[in-house]
Amino acid sequence: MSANHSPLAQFDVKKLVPIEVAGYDLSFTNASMFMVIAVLCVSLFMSLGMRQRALVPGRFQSMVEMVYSFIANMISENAGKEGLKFFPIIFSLFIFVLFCNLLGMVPYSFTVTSHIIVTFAFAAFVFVGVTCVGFWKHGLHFLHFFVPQGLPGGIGGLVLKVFMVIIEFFSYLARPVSLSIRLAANMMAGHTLMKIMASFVGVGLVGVFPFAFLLIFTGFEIFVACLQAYIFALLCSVYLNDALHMH
Amino acid sequence: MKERSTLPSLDKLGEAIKRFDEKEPVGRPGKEPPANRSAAGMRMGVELVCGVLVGMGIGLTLDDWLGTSPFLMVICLFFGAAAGFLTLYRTAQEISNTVEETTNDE
Repeated sequence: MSANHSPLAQFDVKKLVPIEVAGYDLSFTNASMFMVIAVLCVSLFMSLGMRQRALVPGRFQSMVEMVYSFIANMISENAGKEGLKFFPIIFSLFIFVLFCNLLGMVPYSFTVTSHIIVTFAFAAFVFVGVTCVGFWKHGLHFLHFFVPQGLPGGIGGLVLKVFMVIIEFFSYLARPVSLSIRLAANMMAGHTLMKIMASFVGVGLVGVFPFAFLLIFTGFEIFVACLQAYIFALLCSVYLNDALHMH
Repeated sequence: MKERSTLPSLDKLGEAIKRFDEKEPVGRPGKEPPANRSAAGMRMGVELVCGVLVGMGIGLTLDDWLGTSPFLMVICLFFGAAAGFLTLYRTAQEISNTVEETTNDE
């Protein structure tokens, strides 16, 4: 009983179909299942919405078009026209994270994005990709990204420059970490809090208060789910902008 | 038929649209949605912690590699904290820039 009621039990990864290839554990887990469900939902949402291709969109189609133009606007605002070349990858990341977050809000489901390893895989992928774009676009000149401008000359300026380069390098390396921790921590904290609050509901008449809180908090969690997906995509395009246009 | 007479005439509708069009640039709906503000707030908290974490991680790895434990860890921790503050400062600057832009436009 106690194992079932732990607030963290919802994050357990369970093997559904054990698979082992050459010593590596490649089992199909509940996390993989919810990722598959998310991909299916996204495909269904996009293809159903675009099926009619009406000039005057219906409800479904306008939802799809809104999401599309929202991300397209965000990229062109933050990374400029050149950033739109990378629209497909940022849009896919956004919609996948959004659907994983929202699917996590369904009772008894599993929140894929509450695991740091999942979000860190996304973030590391973005980080490596953006760094490659930077070097591809500017060549070795991209290294100037780490050298701040407007420092005084002389020995003092040189020492300061060395310090600043180290600090800039550290803050560059901190990007994927903060990107992944933000998303995972937000999802995990919200879901844990909901579970703890829910366990207080069954204590009798006083349980009305946690229940009311839970009602409001569910709405807030849905807001956070959308917001975190948006922040993830926003920061991807901000980083992309840094790589494309440097300072 | 009775309902139709209570509906506003097309002229009035045209006037209303004109009034709304004149008013629109003042409020700038959709220019800076409130979600953007909360997004900015959510971004700030984690940046600082991550700077310190990354600094410590790099320091520990270097210590392991060079066998200088614990000196590099301490030094890198400070650099990491500085990097965290730098990101925090940049984010804050970005936010105040966008706020200034919207207030200047009004």
